[in-house]
Amino acid sequence: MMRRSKWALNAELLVLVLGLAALSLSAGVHWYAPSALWTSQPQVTSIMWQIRLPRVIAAAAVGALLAFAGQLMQGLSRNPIADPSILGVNAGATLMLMLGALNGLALTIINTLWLSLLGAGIAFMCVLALAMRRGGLDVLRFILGGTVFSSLITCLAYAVGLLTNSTAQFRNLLVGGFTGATASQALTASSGVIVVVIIALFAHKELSLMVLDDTTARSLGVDPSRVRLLAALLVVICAGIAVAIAGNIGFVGLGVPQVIAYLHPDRFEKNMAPTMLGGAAFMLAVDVLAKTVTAPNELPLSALSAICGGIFLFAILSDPRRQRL
Amino acid sequence: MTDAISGEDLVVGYGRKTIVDHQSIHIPAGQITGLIGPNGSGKSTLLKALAGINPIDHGHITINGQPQAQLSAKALAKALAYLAQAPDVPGDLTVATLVKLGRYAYHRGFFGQDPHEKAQVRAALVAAKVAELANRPLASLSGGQRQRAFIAMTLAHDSPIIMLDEPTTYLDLTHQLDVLNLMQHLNQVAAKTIIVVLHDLNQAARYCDQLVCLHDGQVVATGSPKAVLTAPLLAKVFQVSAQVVTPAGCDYPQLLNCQTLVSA
Repeated sequence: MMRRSKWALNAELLVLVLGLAALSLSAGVHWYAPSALWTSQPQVTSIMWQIRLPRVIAAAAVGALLAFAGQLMQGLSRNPIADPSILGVNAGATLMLMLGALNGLALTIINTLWLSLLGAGIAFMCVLALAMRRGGLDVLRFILGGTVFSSLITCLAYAVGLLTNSTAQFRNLLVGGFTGATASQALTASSGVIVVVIIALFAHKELSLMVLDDTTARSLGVDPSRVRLLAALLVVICAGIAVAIAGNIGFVGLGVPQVIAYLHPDRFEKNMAPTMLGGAAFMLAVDVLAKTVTAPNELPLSALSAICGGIFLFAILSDPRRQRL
Repeated sequence: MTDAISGEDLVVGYGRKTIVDHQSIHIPAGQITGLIGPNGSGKSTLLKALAGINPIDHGHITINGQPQAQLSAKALAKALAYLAQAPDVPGDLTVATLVKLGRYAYHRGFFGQDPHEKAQVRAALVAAKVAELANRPLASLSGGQRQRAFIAMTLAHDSPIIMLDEPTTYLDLTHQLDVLNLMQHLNQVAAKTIIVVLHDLNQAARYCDQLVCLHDGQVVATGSPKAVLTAPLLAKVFQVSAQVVTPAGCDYPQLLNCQTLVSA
């Protein structure tokens, strides 16, 4: 396996993110160079500043959040097959948003945010509660329980949509994507990234101990249940904000941390920055495809992401060198 | 002789089930103490309680003269290093990274720098004879190498006390002796106090200065291997009859012709 300096990987990924951001700024019904941000045509500048730039920022931030949430959940369960869309966290946020809207709450950015965080929080607490046993988290119960819980919540969300004839209203939530992302959404998503990065910097030593079993972690001087709570809190913040901005997007959290761990198979804490950058790059790339492949129509982004992720999941499972799961 | 660890009137259990019932134990500093006893006799439970991994229901534990209950988790990790029986192996992790995790208790503050990390990690890798494996992922190592890597992690605690729960399990004889010799070396050269759970009574007799024998959650014998490993004790605790001999030139007993006393 390749073994390189972490700074090289971070630098490459940063260049990739910036390049894809520039591409995404250019792409759309009409192609403009990124320099059109400062052109003298007011129509063009308003498209660039009010439509494309917020969308680029939102996509990059949401990608980073989802990838980091996936890395945390994989660390938490010491298992590669975990991410907020598979284990019901995203679905919980989606359902809570629909219930809130149907109960007459206007989906302003603030309402969207707290509903989504609340839904993600309740869902993840349920999944964790199902998976906890004496002596730690039971991986099998976490994965199976989470998957079943996720299907249940997703079905409930569709049922609510159908029964109240509101599927069309919630199309963006259920399908996911960055169409019509606003400046305030971009600001929310990027603030979310900053908050998460600060917490992660504070807690990186503790988080890196998640790779050990509970007894070993305890012997090193850390309380594993506190680390789990912290990781769960981060997952809820990441997934909650991501759903509030872009709806339920799957598989980013699954695939990106895996690719980074493959390139750089060492330490959890060192992989946090590359995972977030990788998530941003992946989301930007998928969003460019969604915007351009069938222009002027847009493809559903979560479907594209799921297709990429699904193929990737098969690749992980069929890798004969993989020892666990 | 001073006690590195003493436990007075300890009651330890899981939930409502009491495993160790009102027992006391004293671990002398600078010696190798072996915990022996049949499966389910409470060896691991007692060790985990002394290490502060599992809470005690009653009693009092003192570590180097300080009450264990008053030590923070990090202070406890600096005072003693505990290696679990068959820990989960995070396969992607390299040996060096695993050993670095052993320094957790020494990290402080925002970026948590530990000025002695490099030197201590290096010393631990060398002492456990895994320096040349430092950049290998754990998944690529043999059982014996892996066990030495985990022992290096416990050495990185830089603690005067080391606790090993069945460190020889799943290893072939060569690697068992490797681990035991390493343990003896650490005791003699680095003056570590060592508490070790062992199943092989001949190895326990050979390597330990003191044996503590448990049976059904009771400490039934404490003392030198010669004093503890007697025919009546083997019959009572292990249901085994054996010839206890002292090999020429040795001061420890060995068991020959072990026979089970219970009919199958």
